[in-house]
Amino acid sequence: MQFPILETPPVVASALLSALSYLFAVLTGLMAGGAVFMLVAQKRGAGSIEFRWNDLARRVATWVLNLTLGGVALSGVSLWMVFIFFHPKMAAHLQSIFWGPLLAGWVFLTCGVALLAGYVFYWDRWRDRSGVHFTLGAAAVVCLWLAAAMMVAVKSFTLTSGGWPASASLWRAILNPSLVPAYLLWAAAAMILAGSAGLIYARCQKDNLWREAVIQGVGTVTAVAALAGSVACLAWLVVLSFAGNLEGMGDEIPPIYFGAGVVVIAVELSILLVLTAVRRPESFGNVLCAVAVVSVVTLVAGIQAVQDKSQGPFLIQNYMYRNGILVSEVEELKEKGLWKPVAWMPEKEGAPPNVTLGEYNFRVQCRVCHAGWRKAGLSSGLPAFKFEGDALRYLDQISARHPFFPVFAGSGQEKQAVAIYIEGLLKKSGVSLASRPAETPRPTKKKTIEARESRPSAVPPPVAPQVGESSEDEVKAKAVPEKTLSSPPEEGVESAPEAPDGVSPQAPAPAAEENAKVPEKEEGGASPSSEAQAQKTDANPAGSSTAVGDHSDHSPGAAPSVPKPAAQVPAAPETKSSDADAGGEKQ
Amino acid sequence: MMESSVRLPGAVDIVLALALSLHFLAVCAAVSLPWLAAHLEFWGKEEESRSYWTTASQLGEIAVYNLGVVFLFGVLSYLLASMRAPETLFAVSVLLAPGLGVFLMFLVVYVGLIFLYRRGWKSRQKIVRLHILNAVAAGVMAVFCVAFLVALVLGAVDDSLWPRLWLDPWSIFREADFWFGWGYAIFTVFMTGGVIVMLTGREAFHWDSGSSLSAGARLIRLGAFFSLCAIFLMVVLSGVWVLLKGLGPFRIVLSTDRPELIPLAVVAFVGIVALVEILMSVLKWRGSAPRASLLAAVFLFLAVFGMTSIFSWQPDPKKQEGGRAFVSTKGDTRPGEATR
Repeated sequence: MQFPILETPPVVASALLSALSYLFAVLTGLMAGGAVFMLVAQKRGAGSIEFRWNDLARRVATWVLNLTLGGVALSGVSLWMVFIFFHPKMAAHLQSIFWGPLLAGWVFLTCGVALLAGYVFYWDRWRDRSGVHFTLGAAAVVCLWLAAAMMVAVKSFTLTSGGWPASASLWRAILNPSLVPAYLLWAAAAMILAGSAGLIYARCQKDNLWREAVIQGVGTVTAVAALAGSVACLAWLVVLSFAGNLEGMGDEIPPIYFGAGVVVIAVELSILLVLTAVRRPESFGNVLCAVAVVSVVTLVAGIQAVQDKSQGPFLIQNYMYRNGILVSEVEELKEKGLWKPVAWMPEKEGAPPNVTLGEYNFRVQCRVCHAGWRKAGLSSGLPAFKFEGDALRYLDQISARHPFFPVFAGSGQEKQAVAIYIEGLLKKSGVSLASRPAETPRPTKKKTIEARESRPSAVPPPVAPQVGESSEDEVKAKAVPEKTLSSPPEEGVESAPEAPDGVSPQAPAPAAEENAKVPEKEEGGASPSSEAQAQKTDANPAGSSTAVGDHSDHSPGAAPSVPKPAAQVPAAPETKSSDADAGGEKQ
Repeated sequence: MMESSVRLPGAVDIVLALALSLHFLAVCAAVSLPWLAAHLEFWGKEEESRSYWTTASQLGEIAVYNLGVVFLFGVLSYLLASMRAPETLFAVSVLLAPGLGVFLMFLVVYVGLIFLYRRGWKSRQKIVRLHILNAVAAGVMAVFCVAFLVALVLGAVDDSLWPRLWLDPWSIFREADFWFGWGYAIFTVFMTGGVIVMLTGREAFHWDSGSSLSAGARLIRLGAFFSLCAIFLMVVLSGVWVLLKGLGPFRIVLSTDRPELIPLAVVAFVGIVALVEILMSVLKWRGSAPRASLLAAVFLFLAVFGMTSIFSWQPDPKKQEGGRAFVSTKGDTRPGEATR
């Protein structure tokens, strides 16, 4: 299944999704928590001569209904639509997995809203039948919380799919490892959010006695919820840690820090409320109220950050990569290739769609995190490749260098096309790629020599260059092998006099070794172990991560390759690059 | 690799048609309710009639709760339709993403204006004109939202538009089919609004109502007149459509491999004829008005349900040129393959 791709910078996409998720989480929490406070207030009013508890319950019920009809519905629809814009394939798969629970969630939500509406409208009519009225409200709350449980189940499934990828059982998907702690944490957050709103309401009351009573009541529930939330968050973090979600990606802050922050804030909030709102409600002033509200807002943001950052390379853990490619279809895609004809691409008679194979693959596989690379001129966002062919070798080593990256899923030809596309982007941004000098075998290290010989040469891959590429590059690419054969450089020394980094041909061996590695922007982020693994992979291209079986053309033993014309690439949809850019930018 | 489309039982078709019908009627009501409230408030101001203001206030309140119906049945319709053919609905959603983004903004403004209108009754005395304008603006926002919904449906049922949408998402608004669809939606809005006015007038016949009987009867006749005009305009639009498009779509329904489409077509036809009959009798005889209002609402629902069912229960997409795959029972149909 292929979907059109919405071209937006990843920052915009993730910021929009995060903002809407945050808004939805806050409004849903206010709704669900508020509904519980509504019942608590009604119950308290029933056993008290203070009539204002009953009024408060009615007011909260009206607020909750309005919030559900306006805020929750609107933010939920917006979130779902925007989510589909950016992750249509994930949305389709989540629907196919959770279609039953999603429909059940809809039924619960509808029943909850209907019961809540009845609860609000029949307030006066059922004044004498308070038991029935309370039961109606309780049923509404149960329905709303069950609907929320379905939502939490789907979200927690994306983080910890547990045994689902192996069994494909719906129950395994619902009862995933992190469901219980995630739901408890959500419940606690909902109560805390509604509690903070209640504290703001209480601060606005003029009657001292009433204000202190509300602060004490709301503060007690909120403090307990905050304490329970800290415990639930710890449990959630432990489950995520066992599932391997808390390792972090590259140089990003690991999600465990955000989780620890959430626990600390929850404990701090609990202590603050116990010491002030519960024990001395008269001392709970505006400043303390503001501190509590800021704590709550930060706490919810922290939970959101843990959710966002603990996904690793997956959209659905162990099932779907961030770019929407399924783990199970990688091998098939490596064999058959990624490109397929799709309905929305304009196709003239006999002509392929107007994007190149490299651009198409880049869009599908890399764009989700590297959309900024597509804009020429943004050289700072592009990898710091120095030599032609580095891009292809980088793609070969990508799994070893960046274990948190999705696996490259595509045929060898497509990988080469992506490499050419990336190099084309670099050239567009003004970076000139030097021809990689030939690497000489070291007589003292037999294994290294063999490995280097089997490594792809500096010759550009034999795939059609993009239209618009200068003919100078082609000349250079052809010239390098001849140069290598005629005058082999000194042992272990990079013999590239035109090397852009100014390394002299007589540079010592370690420096040359460093240059021989594929340089990249994120080099500092790679762990030492992954670096070592990368070098190992570099020395042995037949390793698991690079064993695509499609680089025979690059071996030094192969004849110097001549770039094929575009028409000779059978499945490559190569056309004018200007057309491709125009089409791409419009999407 | 598991399939992303869901093989739902065939009975879900009727649930989908019901959900779509209710959603469509609720969307039409979402446009007409604030406009009706604005009209009644304006007349109330002109004629110094308190009963009109009361009715307008009630309509503003109903518009808020109508949001629940719009959202809930919209979500259900989208959920069921996308479960059947996610490739179609999600693909067209992405293709129309810029338009749908604007739609979401209009929706936010609409919801805000509706809540503002309800809240504005407390301080309305000072700014009556602004309050009326608030309701009118809400209706205008809803009309724009309807346009985007029509575009989404059109994009979903006609995947031959996709290549153009891929290049220019806004090109759908230049399609003749879009304007026909939007025209039908607007006339249905008027029709629904007329029936709502009739139902509002019916309230005056309750023994505990504060409104006078004559005012209620007047509202009923007014609503019937609006609905009848809308139906005749729809007939004219249909005539133009048949002239331009021919009888192809009717032949598809008649030659379908789904026999239940024929009775549904009959239901739609009977619903429309009965609705016209009821409305004309209300205008001509002026008798049994309260009961006629309720009957008109029932027939309106039947007509919309019949039309929606025919529309959503498309025949097998493979048998149609253009590969219409929206809510098809063949969940594994790939739109890209359907056209190639």
